Amino acid sequence: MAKTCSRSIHSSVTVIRPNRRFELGYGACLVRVVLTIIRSRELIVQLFKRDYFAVYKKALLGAFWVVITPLIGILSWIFLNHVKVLRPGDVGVPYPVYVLAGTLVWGWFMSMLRGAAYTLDGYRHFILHINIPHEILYIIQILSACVDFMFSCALSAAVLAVARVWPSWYGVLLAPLVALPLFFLASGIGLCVSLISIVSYDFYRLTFGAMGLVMFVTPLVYAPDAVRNPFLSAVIRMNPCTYLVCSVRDMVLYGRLYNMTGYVVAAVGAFLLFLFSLRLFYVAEDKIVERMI
Amino acid sequence: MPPTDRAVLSADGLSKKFCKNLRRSMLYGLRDVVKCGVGVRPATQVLRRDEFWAVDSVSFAVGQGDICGIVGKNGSGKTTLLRVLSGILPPDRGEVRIAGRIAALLSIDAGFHPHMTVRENIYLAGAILGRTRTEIEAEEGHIVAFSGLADFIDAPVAALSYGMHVRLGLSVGLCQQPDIFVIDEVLAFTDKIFRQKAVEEIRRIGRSAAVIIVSHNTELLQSLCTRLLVMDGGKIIWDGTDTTEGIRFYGTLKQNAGDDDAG
Repeated sequence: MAKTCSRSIHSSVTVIRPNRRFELGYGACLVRVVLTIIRSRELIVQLFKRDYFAVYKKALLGAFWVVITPLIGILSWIFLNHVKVLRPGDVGVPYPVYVLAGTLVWGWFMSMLRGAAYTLDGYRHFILHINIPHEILYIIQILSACVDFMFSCALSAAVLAVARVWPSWYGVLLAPLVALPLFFLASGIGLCVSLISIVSYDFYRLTFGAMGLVMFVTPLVYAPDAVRNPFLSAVIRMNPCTYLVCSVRDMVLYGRLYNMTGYVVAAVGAFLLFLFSLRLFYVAEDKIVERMI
Repeated sequence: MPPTDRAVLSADGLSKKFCKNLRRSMLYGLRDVVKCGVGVRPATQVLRRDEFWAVDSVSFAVGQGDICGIVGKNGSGKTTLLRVLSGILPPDRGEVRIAGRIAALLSIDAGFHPHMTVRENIYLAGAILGRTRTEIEAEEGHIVAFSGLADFIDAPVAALSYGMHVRLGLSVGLCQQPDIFVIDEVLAFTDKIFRQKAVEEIRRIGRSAAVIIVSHNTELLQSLCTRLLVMDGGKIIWDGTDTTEGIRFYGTLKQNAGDDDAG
């Protein structure tokens, strides 16, 4: 073995000192994280393959689970509508399509949020034994959520075709851009949860308990006009997910944003939260990692 | 030992602290996160209530050709020291200077996926250790030959015994050809033939690189190392090249600790 192993000559000196990242500003943290991701792309690909595809290796149905899971969700909503349990109001397109589009985007958002929140805890053994930048673990989680989402979208396109709903081409093209603030919001919340849940698991439970409630005040399975209760209407209007999730759905189904002003305000807020959380994660994660021991 | 010209790794006043009270550790953790968030240095220099130095003002240097063994009782700070040296945990005080590439094998199965094949795991482990795909492709045959797992190359790692698992991890690690190689008690659970092969490989690497190895196997350390550090209470209490004397010192230390416990 020894004869053919290449030996690299390093003239550089690495100095490991007490962390002084807390002195960095938001821009510097963002730039450093992006550079680390670019430098570690090969490792990201390997770890993504490990975490994503290897999960299905022990399942008889293999990667089909990627489409089976959303399919079960779609069928549940169609059934509930068929037995008249739901009173969705007038949504302008066949109800299953409306629900499918909304829940699909919501599922993607929650999947990114769960992934980001799992960044440190999910890789506990890894983090304590291998020196790798921890921000790439977050990227791997986000990538997994995005690949799942793409599989679900492909399946949903078939449902749209069956229902004879043809999205506008510009709606489909613009949808990824419109969806970007959802990535910021999920990462913003998730990275904070990832940090704090290591020292106190309460934060994780609280966040996901609260997100269960947020889902019900986001018009995913009903039209917002169908809500008669003024308090509930106000909560729906104040909920940033209403604008961010519903705008992606509406862009695909109707070729327009849900509410332009609400969307812009929510998108700016999501981006600021993302910057704050990314910096907090970058500067404080090592103080948290040592609590894992 | 002060840093020397040929030193490829030098630690100077290295300290790392932990908290032994879970609730207080949570509180300190939250406090440190908030402090970092607002740009204030967290309390790294001093001990707060229930905190202790797991590694306390450790200074030493190793150069090319050194095979440095570290021995000590459980909780003496060996693994924490290795974690700090390999960049897994940042120190609270002091610094480490590393000239060249460091490869650390602190856990034999960290990063392996049980359902992926041996071949897939070689690529994965190589990427984790900083190798490019091309480099791993060039080394794959030698890793497989060295590990003796050619018959299992397309079998999932879960099908391997623990000893075979260790052989795979060690083979990938030993092929990295780093300038500093850090190993934490990973030769245990391997059969005698493979252990001998691995020891020879470590010895060979040690001629052109620095090796730091932690083990409770004093016979192994005595036969392999050119230098020994004995740790106790987070400090280096014995440092020398006469490994026989070092092992004897460690034996006395253990015996005294046993007497204290009995008393």
